[in-house]
Amino acid sequence: MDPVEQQDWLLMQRVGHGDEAAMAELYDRFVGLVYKSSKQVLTSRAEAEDAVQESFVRLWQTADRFDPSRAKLVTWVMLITRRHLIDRLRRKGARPEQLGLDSSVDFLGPVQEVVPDPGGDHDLEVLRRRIAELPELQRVVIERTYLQGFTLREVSEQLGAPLGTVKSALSRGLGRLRDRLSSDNKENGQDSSA
Amino acid sequence: MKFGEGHNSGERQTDLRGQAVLDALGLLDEVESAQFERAFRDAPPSVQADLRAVQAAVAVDPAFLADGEPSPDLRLKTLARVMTAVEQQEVQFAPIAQIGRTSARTERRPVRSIDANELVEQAMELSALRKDVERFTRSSYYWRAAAIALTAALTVALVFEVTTSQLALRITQYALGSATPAQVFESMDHPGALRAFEKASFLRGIAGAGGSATIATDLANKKSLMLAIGLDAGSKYVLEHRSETGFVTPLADFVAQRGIWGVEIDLGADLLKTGTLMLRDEAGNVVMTS
Repeated sequence: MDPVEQQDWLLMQRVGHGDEAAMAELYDRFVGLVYKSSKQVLTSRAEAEDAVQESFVRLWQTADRFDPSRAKLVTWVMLITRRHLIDRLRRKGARPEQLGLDSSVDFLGPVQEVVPDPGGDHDLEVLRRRIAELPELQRVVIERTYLQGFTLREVSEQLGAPLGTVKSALSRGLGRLRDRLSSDNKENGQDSSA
Repeated sequence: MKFGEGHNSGERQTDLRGQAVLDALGLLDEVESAQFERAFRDAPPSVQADLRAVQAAVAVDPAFLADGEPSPDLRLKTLARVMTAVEQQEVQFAPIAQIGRTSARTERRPVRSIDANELVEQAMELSALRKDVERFTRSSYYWRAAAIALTAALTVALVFEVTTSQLALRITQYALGSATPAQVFESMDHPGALRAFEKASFLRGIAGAGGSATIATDLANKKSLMLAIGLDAGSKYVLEHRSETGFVTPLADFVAQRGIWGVEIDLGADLLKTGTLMLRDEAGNVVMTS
């Protein structure tokens, strides 16, 4: 374990024991990423900030499971955050039991149950627009997993398609989405480092 | 399937990289995530390093992040929320005599002599399997995690009779396998057990010894049991309690016949809540302390 990993592990041990200073350090290091991740899939600033708070509670609850030999701390923090966001999306409901490709269009609506802040949903709209430009299968799979919180297995069952196909579509779609959003960021002159 | 078996290793690595991206985004379900974990563990160090790098890059990839900064007051709100959760858990965590399955406590039998206890014997047999244990000695973290899980699980099994010997054995095997303490405790159907043990009865190993001990108390019978791992076989130890005013009370002395050894002690639950518990070796050195 290198010194940085050792420090990260010690930090998470302290977080796990409810050390407030350690939690503050964790917050200061990662709140930017946690917030930006939340903001991308939630409809309002208030909801994103609530998700940030819940994510840090989860980071405290799961701190003893952090294993630096398995993942870097930033990966762990963002994984816990994204799992929380997925759970949150699931709790929001609007998840019909049986869905085919045809019903995918409906997904652009139900997610937005919370009235967004004025100007606060710009990022989500950009994301939705870019997703809408993807080939149909990739678009549906990303909408349902990334924006709705369905598992790949559930999407596979909904579409009657093999899990491997759904997984491949998701991987390809995410790759394409990443390229397009990165291009957007460059065109807008944004720094690509988070 | 282990890395490289049955597939071209290049294709396999590409597949793993794809899985790594989905895993980092939280898009794999529990089954798929466990499959990826196994594949990661089986992969050579160079591939593991590559996958870790891929996941770290995805974690900060701007494509999956919005713009903007949180409100300045979010810091205070978040810290308050976390610390409230911490305090609530501390209030809620059960006295250690209640750790375990509530429904089974009514059926528990009196504390047994542990020298003859088959569970301890099984644990000793397992601990003798150096091939498994050596995996943990490479990393003090894993060793410590396994030790905590093992002692806590066995203590619960022995004192409260909340599990069958088969389950205790399974937990022991988990502890000596690759499971984390949290996963071990999850398998015991008691989500708060790990933290309760750590806070109420876990004696931390010191001086890098890698050992740990766990004490649980049976309130009904006023008996406690300490189970320790990482002891020197054949060595004599003394368990002491030091009050907050500095008054030291010897609680038990024993000779550890094996590296894992337990002893019954007269120790009220109240005593565990205050002061410090210390385990001293023959030379009087404190080898573990709470």
